[in-house]
Amino acid sequence: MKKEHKTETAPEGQALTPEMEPKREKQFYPDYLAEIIFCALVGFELLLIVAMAWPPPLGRVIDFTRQFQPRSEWYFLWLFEVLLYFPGRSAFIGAVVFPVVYFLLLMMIPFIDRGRNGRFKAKIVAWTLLGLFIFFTALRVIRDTWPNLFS
Amino acid sequence: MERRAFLRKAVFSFFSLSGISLGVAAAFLYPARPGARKEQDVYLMDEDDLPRRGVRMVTFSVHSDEHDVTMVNRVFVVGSPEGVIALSPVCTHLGCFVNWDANRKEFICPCHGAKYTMRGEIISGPQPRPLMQLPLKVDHGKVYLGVKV
Amino acid sequence: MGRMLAWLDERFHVIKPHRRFLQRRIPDGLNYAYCFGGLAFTFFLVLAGTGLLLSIYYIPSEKEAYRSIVMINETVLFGWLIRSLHKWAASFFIVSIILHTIRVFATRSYRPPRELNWMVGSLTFLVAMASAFTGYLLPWDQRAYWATEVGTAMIQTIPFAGDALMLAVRGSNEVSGATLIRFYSIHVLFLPLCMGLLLWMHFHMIKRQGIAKRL
Ligand code: HEM
Ligand code: FES
Repeated sequence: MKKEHKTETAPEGQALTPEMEPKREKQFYPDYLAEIIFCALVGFELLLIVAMAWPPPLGRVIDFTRQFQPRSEWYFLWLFEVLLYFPGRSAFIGAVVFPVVYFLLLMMIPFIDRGRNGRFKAKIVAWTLLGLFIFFTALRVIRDTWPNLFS
Repeated sequence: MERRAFLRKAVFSFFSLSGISLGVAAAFLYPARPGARKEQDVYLMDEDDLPRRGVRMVTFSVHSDEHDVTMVNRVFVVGSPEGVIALSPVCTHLGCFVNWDANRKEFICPCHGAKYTMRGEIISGPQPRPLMQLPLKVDHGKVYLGVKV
Repeated sequence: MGRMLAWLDERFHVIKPHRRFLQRRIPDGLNYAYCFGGLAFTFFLVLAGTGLLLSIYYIPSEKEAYRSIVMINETVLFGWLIRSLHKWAASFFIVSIILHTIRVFATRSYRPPRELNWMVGSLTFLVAMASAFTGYLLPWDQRAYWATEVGTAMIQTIPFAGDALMLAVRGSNEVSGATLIRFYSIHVLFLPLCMGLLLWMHFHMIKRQGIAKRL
């Protein structure tokens, strides 16, 4: 980097005395902290309600002689779905290349947003990534709900 | 100069040592004797019970001495004009167990829908290979299955 | 400030060095979309707390894992609640991280000097997914077994090194007791340590760089 980075925030911690500042600006403490704590409490409350209402059921004992339809957690459904499109020896692409490339693209977004059309490029990448996640998750859910829709 | 050379050496040794340590850690994590599996003959059924035509799911139990556990497992015994074979239920795609669909006369994997014929050949789906055949042995009217434990 | 706090601060010396940080002005225009990071952290704390509790009763062995889960669910006082909280908090955690990432992207807060923090944040996401994956095996029931079977078999598809890598992950040819212990250790020791380190970096950079101004 040629120049030193500028931080776009207010210069660090000038103690604000009331005379200097007629209308007190929001500070990290206590204003912002209070908001965070409020959010945290609401979030925890929500979690508690959900956890009490829907405790996870006990699974079945492992039994190789029983028919079983494996299911993954909702946040892995999209990866599960992607596997379908890479048959045979290309399974590698769906199972490994796709997730790795996906993750690298996510991580590299700040470097994609460079130059004149940077933000535009970054937007395309980011919304594509989010779109893929939603699209494949939705497909999987549809398949699981109506198993015979596509066959 | 003395000092610099010494420092450089120190830094160099530090990084080499770290590298070696990482290597040792990786080797430590790699399971010991992973390939050490012995084939074991397990009694399945009497020769008279072998299906002449059709698919029968047979369950059997094997004891693994190394892990000291007994596992109940299953295998498909398939009879057809070409002879009797034993098919491993492990889908060659990613290892789910396939089920026999008696109406459609095919093996169907519940994971990603791989389909195999009655003799384990690929019909459709993401699987790279046909179902694996396991060795069947007949000895004095009893049928044994060769399982790797 | 209470006298107790003052007494403590005299030994720990945290308040003065952090005064600048505590009194720092917060840019205008922040709204509640900015709370998802804090929310994610809240759920991480819940995960850590309930996870520690569960580890008291859980037995990471092929023969006893399932039974110990049954015991937690049915005999231990509030066991079902702790288990439920741990499970749901994982989902809430991942939702919060996703929303937080969307917020950071939408406000373009990833630009220099915050690009490194974006990368650290992405890594926390990876570690979160890995934790979810390893934790899923621990109940040692049908669902757990088969999900792990498929998930680890994915590694095997890598050309040449696939078999060796899969063995290193499973610890045996099939998903077995060896896999269970591996995943247990990774789930309760390796990954939480990684996560702690990443979060420390994440928060440290926020402290030093401040929150990005609204565009
Ligand atoms: C364990 C998960 C995570 C936790 C607990 C967490 C927590 C936080 C918190 C508390 C903040 C302060 C601002 C806010 O609340 O929005 C923050 C900011 C930030 N996070 Fe995260 N985060 C996590 C994951 C991520 C991920 C996955 C990314 C990106 C891929 C990310 C990128 C960032 C960046 C760049 C900032 C600075 C934003 C700014 O200055 O406005 N974080 N994080
Ligand atoms: S594991 Fe059988 S189709 Fe994927």
